[in-house]
Amino acid sequence: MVNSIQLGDIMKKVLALILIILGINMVFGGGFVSKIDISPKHSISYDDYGNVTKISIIPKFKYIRLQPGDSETITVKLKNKNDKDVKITPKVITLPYSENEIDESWISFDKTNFILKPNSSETVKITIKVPKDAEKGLYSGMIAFTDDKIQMPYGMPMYANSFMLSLEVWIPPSVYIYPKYIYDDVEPGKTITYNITIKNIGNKTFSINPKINSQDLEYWDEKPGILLSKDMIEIESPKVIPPKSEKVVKIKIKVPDDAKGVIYGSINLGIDDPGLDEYQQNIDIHLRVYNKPKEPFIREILINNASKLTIKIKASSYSWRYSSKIKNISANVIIESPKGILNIKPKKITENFNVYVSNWKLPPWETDSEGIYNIGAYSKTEEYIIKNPVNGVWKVKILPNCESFNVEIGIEQ
Amino acid sequence: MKIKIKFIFISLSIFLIFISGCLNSENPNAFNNSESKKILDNKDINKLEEYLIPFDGYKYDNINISKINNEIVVRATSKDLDGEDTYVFIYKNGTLILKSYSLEALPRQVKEKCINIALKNEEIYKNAEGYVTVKRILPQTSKKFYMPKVLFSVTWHSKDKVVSALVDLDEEKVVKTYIG
Repeated sequence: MVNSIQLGDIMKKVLALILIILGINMVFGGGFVSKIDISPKHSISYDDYGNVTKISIIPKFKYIRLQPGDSETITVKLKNKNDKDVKITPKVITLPYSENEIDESWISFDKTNFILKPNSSETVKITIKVPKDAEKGLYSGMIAFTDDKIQMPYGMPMYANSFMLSLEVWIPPSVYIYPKYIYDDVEPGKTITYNITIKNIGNKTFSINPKINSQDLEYWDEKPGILLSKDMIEIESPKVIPPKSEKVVKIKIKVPDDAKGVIYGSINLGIDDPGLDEYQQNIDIHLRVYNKPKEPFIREILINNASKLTIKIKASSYSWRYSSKIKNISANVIIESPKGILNIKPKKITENFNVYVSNWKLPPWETDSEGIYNIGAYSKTEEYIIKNPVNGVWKVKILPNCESFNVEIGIEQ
Repeated sequence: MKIKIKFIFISLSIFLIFISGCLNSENPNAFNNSESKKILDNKDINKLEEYLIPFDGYKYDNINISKINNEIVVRATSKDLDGEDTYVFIYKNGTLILKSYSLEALPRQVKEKCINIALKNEEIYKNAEGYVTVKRILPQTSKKFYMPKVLFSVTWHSKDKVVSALVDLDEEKVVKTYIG
């Protein structure tokens, strides 16, 4: 566990790093850098920085991701827009607030000391080589091309002609986990088994030891939450995952008879794959307890010398649910006459899709989907027609497996 | 606590990825429709593959391409995801560019989580009605509204209005709302 003081320190360091990056961005007058155009959009008044001689550095930032033992070379272009020579001496600068420094020995330059003539350009190749024994993590470093410094508003002097490097040292995971979330609607008293597939594509055997996370988890649902406890759960797991194999972890959850709201929790699979961080092997569990009606919805209809009885039942589901259940949604209708249950099939079945196209029906962040058909709600209507229904009390019984339903009853005299 | 720290570093990484302009793409390699190869040559298929990125951790199992006038419409699905991702490309000065997209191929659990996060916002909670859709929003769109990262649009459509929340799933928060 990281205590609050440690967390505070780390937060400060992260914030300082961001400020440094933003600071560089501000100093150089550039916006965010894109692949296409990384030149500053506005000219800079060089007089604002006193005796500092500024050069243009393209790009000013770089993020790279390397595995231990790998290397990468970055090319940085330097432009001297001044009317005097500038001496270029690239060197790695230690950032006082950085958590993980890129070691100076990891970085080398193809040119280390040269003069950049007025109105000329030169490229410098920076090679980053990560040692084989480097630890996983995010490293940062600054490369200064000259000794010129600017006093920043937040107190720390900044190298005026610098390049920021962010390096993520990573180890590719050998083990893949699917799914990482268990979200479901569950009924009280039921036991449900969820299968988690663990695939080892590597050449090593890994051990696995799943455990329920006992730490406090953030709970975000509006409904009352019940933290998943050991007595609700049974885990069946292999002890090891051999190379090039696929195994299944079975998570059996017993929903308490009196459960209401949401059951939430997390299981850590405890796999010793160095490529997997702890949080990457958590299985989030979020189960909405749904007290499904056990008895059907019943509507009584009084028939008195009618010539026709029409019953329309529309079962609806929202778009994001129907894709997997489109063929299954149903209102499960039973029609009962005064003489007993009718063996009747719907005369007509209607499917209804809601499709929208133009962006006036979309929020601004979805305008990029204009011109693409978007299917909204789905519903299925079953229409039953009974000619010359017998007099007396009829019943329509509905036990739905959809999200909502609508009943329309028409009586013709 | 550790998870939070990871999120901070992940967010920072994404930020740095953006500013360095080197977003990586995943190669889905699922062009199993032979018609696709009639419509596009291998060079353009490779170019398309750079754009087609399914929801994190998943892969497309089926990618179908059709050409309508000067538009190339790509529909991609995964057996593990609900819904379909649609991309529309056009050629501009000989270069294939992404014109529009609608990405609904998401794990059901992710959709549920996004909806729950959206409903934690009071404005959304009070106004949400009708049917709801959840879509993945790409960084190039997100940056106009928040920051360049994958966000999720949770939108309720009813007869009278559209109510939407732009959700940051990493931070588990609503970053923008829209009622129109």
